Amino acid sequence: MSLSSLKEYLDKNAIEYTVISHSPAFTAQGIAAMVHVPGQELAKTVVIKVDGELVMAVLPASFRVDLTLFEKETGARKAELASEAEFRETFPECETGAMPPFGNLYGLRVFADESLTRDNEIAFNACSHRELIRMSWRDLQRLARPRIARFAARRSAEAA
Amino acid sequence: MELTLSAQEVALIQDILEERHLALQREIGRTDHREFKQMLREREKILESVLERVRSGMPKAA
Repeated sequence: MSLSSLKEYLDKNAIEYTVISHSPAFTAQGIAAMVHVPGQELAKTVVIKVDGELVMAVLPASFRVDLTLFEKETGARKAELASEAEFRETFPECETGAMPPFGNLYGLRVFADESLTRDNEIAFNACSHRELIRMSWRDLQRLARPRIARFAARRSAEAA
Repeated sequence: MELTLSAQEVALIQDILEERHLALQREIGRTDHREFKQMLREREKILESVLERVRSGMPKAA
């Protein structure tokens, strides 16, 4: 998936969205402040291996996935972060960590953290660390059909 | 649109398009979402048409 194919997909589904270009930044909070998006609204995607199956988790960018919570919520025996090599082929044109939350287009189940449902809008990287797409949460739900669960935990000061 | 390119530039663009073509074919193979797959196939057709013209080095007649 590339930014242009993502935009075409959204256009075909008559989705209203804005593309926000920004200079590369290293922290989610930095990006949020730079593009004037509330921190909670800025989401990131993480690919997780759940009992051997790759799934996509979507959560506020400043949070981390609590794998124990994720196992509990999904009923999985083992949830672990997938290595880049395991999902690189699925998103060959996306920069690592900049995959948009549309894993469902590639047969990946999508899980969204419950906290994201509190905002009307969501912003996420659009295949690169220089472009964000902002759209309504409702439209994202319609297209990506995520299962809502609670698995996000605040980062510790060391991890942030 | 008319673009004049040197042989070296044509070769470079051909390489880039061929690389993209392969990536697109792989992506189509991995996609199981009907609508999205169709959209990618349409992009592939456009890409193949451009690639064909680049390979021939001649603009396609309107």
